[in-house]
Formats: sequence, C-alpha cells, structure tokens
Amino acid sequence: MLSALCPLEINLGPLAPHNIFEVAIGLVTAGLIWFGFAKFISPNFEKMYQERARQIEGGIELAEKAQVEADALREQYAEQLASAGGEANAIRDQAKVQAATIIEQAREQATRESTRMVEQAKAQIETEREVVSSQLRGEVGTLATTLASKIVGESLEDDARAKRAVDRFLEQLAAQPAMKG
Amino acid sequence: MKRLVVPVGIVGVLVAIGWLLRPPAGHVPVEYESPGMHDFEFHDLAVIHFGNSSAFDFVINKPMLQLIISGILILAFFIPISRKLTIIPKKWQFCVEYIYDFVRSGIARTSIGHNYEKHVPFLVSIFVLVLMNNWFGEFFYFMFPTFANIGYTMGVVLVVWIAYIGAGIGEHGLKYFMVQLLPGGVPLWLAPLVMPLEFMSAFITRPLTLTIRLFGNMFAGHLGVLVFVVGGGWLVSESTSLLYNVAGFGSFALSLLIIAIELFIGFMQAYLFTLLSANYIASSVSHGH
Repeated sequence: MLSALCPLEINLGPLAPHNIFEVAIGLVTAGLIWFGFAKFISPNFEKMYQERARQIEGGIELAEKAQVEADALREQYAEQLASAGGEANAIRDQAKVQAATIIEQAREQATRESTRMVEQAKAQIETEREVVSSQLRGEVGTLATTLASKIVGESLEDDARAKRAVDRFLEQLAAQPAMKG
Repeated sequence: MKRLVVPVGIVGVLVAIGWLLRPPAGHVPVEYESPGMHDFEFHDLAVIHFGNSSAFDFVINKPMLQLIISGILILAFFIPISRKLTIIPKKWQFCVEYIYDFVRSGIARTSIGHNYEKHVPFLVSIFVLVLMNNWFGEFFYFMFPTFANIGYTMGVVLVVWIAYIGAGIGEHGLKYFMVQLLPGGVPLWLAPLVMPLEFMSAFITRPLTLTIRLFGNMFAGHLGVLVFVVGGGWLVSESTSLLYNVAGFGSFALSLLIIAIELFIGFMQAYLFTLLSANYIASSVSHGH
C-alpha cells in the first residue's frame, strides 16, 4: 500500500508501528484512563481540595472573629476601667465637698455653742454681781454705821438722826453707778 | 602510594571475579549478537488477521499487555484512594496526592493558569500513564519501556492531539482554528505566509515531535541498557580472554548506573510530555494572541 504511494520503498524501521492496532490500543488506553480520571478520580480530588481550602479559610475566618471579639472585650474592659476611675474621682470629689460641709457645719455649731456659753456666763456673772452688790449694800450700811458710831461716839446715839444720815448715805450710794468687775 | 590502594583493590576484585566466572577451558564461544531491532520484537501471543496486510493484524504481545496492565493498575490504584480522600492525608493518600498535586500545581496551574482545573484529569492521566510505562523499562518482569514501541506512543499522542484541539474548540468554538492559525497582531497581508506555518506548527509538528521525543528516548535508553547488559553478559560468560571477562563484569556494574539514569530519563520524559501537552492546551485556550 505504501509502495503504491511512494515511488521508493522506504523502510522506516522502528519508526513504523507494527500494525494500526498498536495505535488504536494506545489511543483507547490513554482515552480510558483520561475518562477514568475525569469521571471518578478528579471530582473527588477537587472536592477534597475545595473542602480543604474552605476549612483553612474557615479557620482564618474563625480566628478573625475571635480577634474581633477579643478587641471588643478589651475595649469594653478599658471603658469599664475608665468609667470606674471616673466614678472614683466623682466619689472622691463628693466626699471632699461633704467633708468641707461637715467641717463648716461643725465650725458654725461650735461657734454658736461658744457664743451661747459666753453669753450665759456673762448673764450668770451679772446676776451674781447683782446679788453680791445688794448683800454688800446691806453690809456696807451696817459697817459704815458701826464705823461712824465708833468715830463720832455717843453723839450719834440718837436713833432718828442716825437713821436719816444712813438713808442719805445709802441713797448717795445707790445713785452711784455700780462698780464694774 | 596510598592513593593507589583503592583502585588497585577494585581492579583486583574484578579480576578475581572475572577469573572465577570465566568459561571452562576449551569453551567455544557462541557468536556475539549485538542488541538491535530484534530486541524490540516480541513473541505473538495471539494474532487476529483483518486483511492481507500485516498492518491490519491485531497482535497481542508483551508491550500491548504492558500498556493494558498499566491502565488497569493506574485506575485500580487511584479510584479506591480517591473515594476515601480526607482533609488531612493518610499515608497512601499522601503518596497519591503528591503525584496528583505534582501535575495539578506543578504543571497544570503554572502552564494553563486561569480555568486550569478542567484540564487536570487529562494531564494527570497522561503523566501517570507515561511514567508508569517508562518505568516498566527498569521494572522486573516487564523490563521493557512500552513507548519504545512507536505505535503506542502514536496512540497516546493522538489523545494529546485530540485533547488540545478539543480544548481550543471548547474555549473558542470553531473560531479556534482562526485564533490558532492567525495570531493576533499579525498584519493581514502576512496571512498567506503565517497560516501555513502556524498550521504546520500547531497540528503537525507538535504531535510529531511529541511522538519522536518520547519514542526516541525510550528506544535509545533501552538499547543502551541492552548494550551494557547483553554485551557484558557475553564478555563474562562466553569470551575466553580473562581481560574481556573482567571488562564484562565492569560493564555489568556500570549497567546499574545506566538503569538509574534510565529511571531518571523515564521520569523526565513523562514530565516533559505532560508539560508540553499542558503548554499546547494553554496555547489553545489562550485569549492573548
């Protein structure tokens, strides 16, 4: 057949297939393996690769989510800390104000009390002085009469005259302003 | 003097082994048959004729069974594991996932970019198929890289060809052929020159180079291993010269190195084959011409 096409008989040697069924079997075998891979093997592999990629991505996503949560928590914590600090400051301020008020109140009360006590003491002293001065007045009259009778002697034994003189003297005494102290 | 101890020792050991393994006295050596095309022909297990020409004979032989077994092994290995995939890989899944992700991230995503996922099944299947069949060349029992038989390489390349043209049509519709043949930015008067070139490059050179590259590497690699093993074997067991016996043993030792290199080349070619397929798909679906 070949010699009919070519004027010269060419011996291709090992480059010529022995028969067409070699080519056919080569083609069919390769084709069948290709089909086997395309139909049965590769889909499973691709599925596995996809699943693996998905899981890795899922893992990354999970980690990202955890990171976001952790960030949120940290922020919340920081906020809480900040608010707690603020609260403490407020309480401290309030305490300061309260303390100041209490001190003020105490001082006022003390002042009031002391004023009251001073007034009371003054009043008492006044009363005592009144009592003492009225007692003294009686005693001073007697003493003065005694002294005068001793000095003038019998001349002043006349009761009526003496009484007048003593009254005059006591009136003069009463007219005088009370001695201070 | 001291530095000579090790090489002299090695040579001494080789000589001793070569001497021990020497053929008996009076041995008439069989004629040396160098490795060649006959090492790539296999016994027909069954033949079904579909016509007069041997081109239409359906022959079941070792490479064909290898290819079919590789297909069954791959599906039997991947399907059960893919049904029990977990987010955190267990030990078998780790191994499978390593292969799968090597193609998915290392080839498909970097080459195709946007919307690469739908081309991953094709690229992974091509990669494991080519890798496994290449490594059959160094695997006990099989000891033959399936793609050193060009017919199977052509079959797989046809699938690649269909895949990247299909990807282009899926992306652009029938406009794909215009996109592929006349890259954007080319002035219209250059079209008669550019279009045949682009056609050659996109639809003929690509499958041709894919085929020749994979086939050639596997074929030559297998031949290289054979030269060391068959030649070494003949020298050790048939040659009557002690020097040749020793050299044959050295050749055996070196064949281990060659086999290690072959394992690497097998992986390299599978990777390259898949990478180029991915690049072709990328150029088919690209909008940035």
